[in-house]
Amino acid sequence: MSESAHATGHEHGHEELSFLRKYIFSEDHKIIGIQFMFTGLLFLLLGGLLALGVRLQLGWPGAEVPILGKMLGPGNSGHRMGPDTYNMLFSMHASVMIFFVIIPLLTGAFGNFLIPLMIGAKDMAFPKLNMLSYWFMWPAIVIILLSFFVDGGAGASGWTSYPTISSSTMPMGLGFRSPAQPGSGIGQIYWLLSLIFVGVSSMMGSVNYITTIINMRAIGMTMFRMPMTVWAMFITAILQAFALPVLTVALFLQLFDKTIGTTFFLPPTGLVFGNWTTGPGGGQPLLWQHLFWFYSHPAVYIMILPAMGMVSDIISTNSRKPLFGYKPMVLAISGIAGLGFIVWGHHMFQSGMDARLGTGFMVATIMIALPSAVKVFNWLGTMWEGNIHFNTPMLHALAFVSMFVIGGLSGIFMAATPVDIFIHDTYFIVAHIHYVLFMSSMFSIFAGITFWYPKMFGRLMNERWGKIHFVITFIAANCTFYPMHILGVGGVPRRYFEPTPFATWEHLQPINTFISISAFIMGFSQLIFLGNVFYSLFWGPKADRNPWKSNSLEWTAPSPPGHGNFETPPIVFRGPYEYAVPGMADDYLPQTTPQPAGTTVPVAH
Amino acid sequence: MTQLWPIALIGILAVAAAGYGVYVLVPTLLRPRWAYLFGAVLALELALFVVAPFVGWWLPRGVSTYSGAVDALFYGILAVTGVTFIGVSIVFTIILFRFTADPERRSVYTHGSHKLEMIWTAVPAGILVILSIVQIPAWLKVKNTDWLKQAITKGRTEDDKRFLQIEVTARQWEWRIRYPSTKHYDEWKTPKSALDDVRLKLPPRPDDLRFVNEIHCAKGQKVLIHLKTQDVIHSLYLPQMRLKQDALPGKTIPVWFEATEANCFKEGNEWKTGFRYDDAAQQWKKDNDFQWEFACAEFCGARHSLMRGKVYVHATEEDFLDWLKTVEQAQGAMTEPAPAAPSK
Repeated sequence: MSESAHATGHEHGHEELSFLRKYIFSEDHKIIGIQFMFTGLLFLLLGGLLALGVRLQLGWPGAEVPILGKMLGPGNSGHRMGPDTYNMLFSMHASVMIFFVIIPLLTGAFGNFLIPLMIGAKDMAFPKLNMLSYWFMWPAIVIILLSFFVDGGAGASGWTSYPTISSSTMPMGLGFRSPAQPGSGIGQIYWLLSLIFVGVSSMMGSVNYITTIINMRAIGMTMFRMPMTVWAMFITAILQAFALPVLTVALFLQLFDKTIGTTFFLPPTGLVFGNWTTGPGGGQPLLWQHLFWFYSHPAVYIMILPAMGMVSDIISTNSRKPLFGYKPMVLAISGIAGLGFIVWGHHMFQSGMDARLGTGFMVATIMIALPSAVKVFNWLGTMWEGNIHFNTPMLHALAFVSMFVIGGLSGIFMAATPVDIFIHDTYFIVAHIHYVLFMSSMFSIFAGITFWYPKMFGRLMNERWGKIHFVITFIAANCTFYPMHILGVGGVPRRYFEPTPFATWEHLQPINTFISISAFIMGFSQLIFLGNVFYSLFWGPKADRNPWKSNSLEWTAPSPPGHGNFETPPIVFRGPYEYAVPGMADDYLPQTTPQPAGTTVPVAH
Repeated sequence: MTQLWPIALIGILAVAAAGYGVYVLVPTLLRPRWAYLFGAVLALELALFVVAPFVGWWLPRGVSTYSGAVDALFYGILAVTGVTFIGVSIVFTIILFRFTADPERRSVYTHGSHKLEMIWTAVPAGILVILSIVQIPAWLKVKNTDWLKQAITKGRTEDDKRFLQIEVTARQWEWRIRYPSTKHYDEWKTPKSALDDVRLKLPPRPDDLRFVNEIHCAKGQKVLIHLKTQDVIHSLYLPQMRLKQDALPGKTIPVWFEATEANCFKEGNEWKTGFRYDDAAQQWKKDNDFQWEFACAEFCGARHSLMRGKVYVHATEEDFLDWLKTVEQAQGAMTEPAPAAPSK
């Protein structure tokens, strides 16, 4: 099909595409978003199972692994998990969750689905690139799944893959085995390759989002009339576009170190592994940490900013009240993104980096708490004197806020360099990151899926099962991650296969068991959510265009929107947060409704 | 396997029944006030932090000269974040109680308040700036090695105790520790000798003493550790000293600590650790809080969690030298002339 013929197809909104072109190799942003969503949800299962493996060992050290025990290969004793398997589990749990669940779900699924709908565009600026961005995930998916079955198993150096444990390789001719640990052999090479593909995919997405948001807004949709979700996606895309190249470079450098014998991360003194010496290198292991965190610190904002955006929209809609402090919220997001680029060193306070440099990073890190606090206060301000509808999306959004508050506050402990000396690399970090990032972003994903589900599929999700899932997940998640703070205050290091042999920490083992029980409850309760997603696809109550009585543009399109999204190009008259406008019968005023007579809606924003 | 199916069936039925119970009960119980759920969870979380110190789930005993400064900062931040947490949680819960949807009431139409934004930006900003400034002295205290300069010029630290230099080399998966011989230790009375060893990062000597997974020092003695690794990144972590430092391949990183309490004594020919000196009873008593270990805090492979050692803080410098002499005799007897080989 030629480019022009294709463009014509777009204009008339023809539905004559073959099944393959419509649902598999689709250029429609909505289908691509939904593809990202289902891929992400499937990987959520895998990532969750990996985490449960970790919790099994930590809760009941040395216990036999049920069901999967017989699949454990060499290096494990009987049906009991060995340390290398454990290390692979926590490494792949984090890698899968970050690169195959949270980022694809937040930016891939919601970014793709929502951006054109919310700004009133027919599609993304580059539909083909958009399709490629999804299909570039597939090499990554195949490689990461294959890596579980290669010699030595999947990568086991943590999601951070610090050299030299990750980068050390036997000399040419001895295969790609690693002298450091089995998982740092071929598994690590696969890990690097996989992440390179994920990076390429994300980069294509980012370019598309930035262009679409700048160029394709509907008439009247000024930048400051965009919903917070779009603002957040915009800032996130910029973050990704600037930070990703650095990660890609770092991944390639490590790949070269592992395959073609470069020594970017090998120090001049060389390394000694038992009887085997690497010989001198010309690099520096700390280089990786700088490059890696230069991406991966912004990456944690990539995983939270879209969540903040979506939650802002959901809270405003379900409180039936205008978003409190729209512009301060936009500024706060920009502030987080800006500061996010100069705080990467706070991961490295104890790494051997100069202590004076640490002080600089400390100040920047402490200050990033400020825009985060402003966001929380504005969400509270939005709900204050509102009419809160406790539907499933809103409950998840509220969970997001309460999780984010705890995660934000615990971050201040680590930002303080002297306290970080003690709690660095302990369970305090694990608690912090799972609060501020993963539970927050997971709850926002649940909120987002339940909120926009009717727009995606034209059906509502089952409300009662949604609430049951919410209650179990909210309680179990808090029971899982909150006690980790206590382990951290006790000083228990993370990434430990055996948590118990230390006299200092032996008495904390009951907490570990409690955490594991909660984790299993949380893990299995996700089946309710998945069941609800699939059940409601076919049997959910039919939704009209605007089931939540929300203002933003996507709710003026049919549910689900056809190819080309809107029947007529929307014209935007005001911002998306005009709820409870005085003098109106309805308590909401969509962006496309012309100014009603006799009302005084501020048109300014 | 055949006898399992009734259990499986009962299990499935039980799960189904429980599921239905939940399906019916949860919404009825929680419909009126979701604030209960959020409020209860937040309150329990607060309660856990209040209870934890009393049941021993808390910071390990701090026994270095800077552990007090680190802990004080920890408590300071705990107070600030605790108050913020309580404040935000109360407001949050009140909102959920008071502003549940009510068809009789319309939301207040407002887009925000410039004044409020100013307040809740400026106040946290002020607190955060203060927080970042007040922590700098503690950071300096840990990272600054001014005492070292003094030690170098005088050969002694301000309180007139010689400091100790040791080299800790991490490898998969043990800590190899190199001590000076007693003769070498005596040489540090001469400032130049001490200075040379600090500058040259304690160059190996034939009469050095090597030991695995045990750090020995004396109470009140400053210990300068030249930290190295020979394979991957490790991290030397002494929880009770509030010390943690990554060991980087290719680098020698100086770290130090000074213990303020002793935890070992000699019984026969053996040094026993994990004891506290009871001043009243004039004897050593077993105490788990005095069982000091060090660990690896940076992931380093299969036996990462087993890479641990013991810290022996001797009550006096003489005790420490006594131990050093014992090691000297033992290692001198093993190999002639003085050994250069690692003890393992």
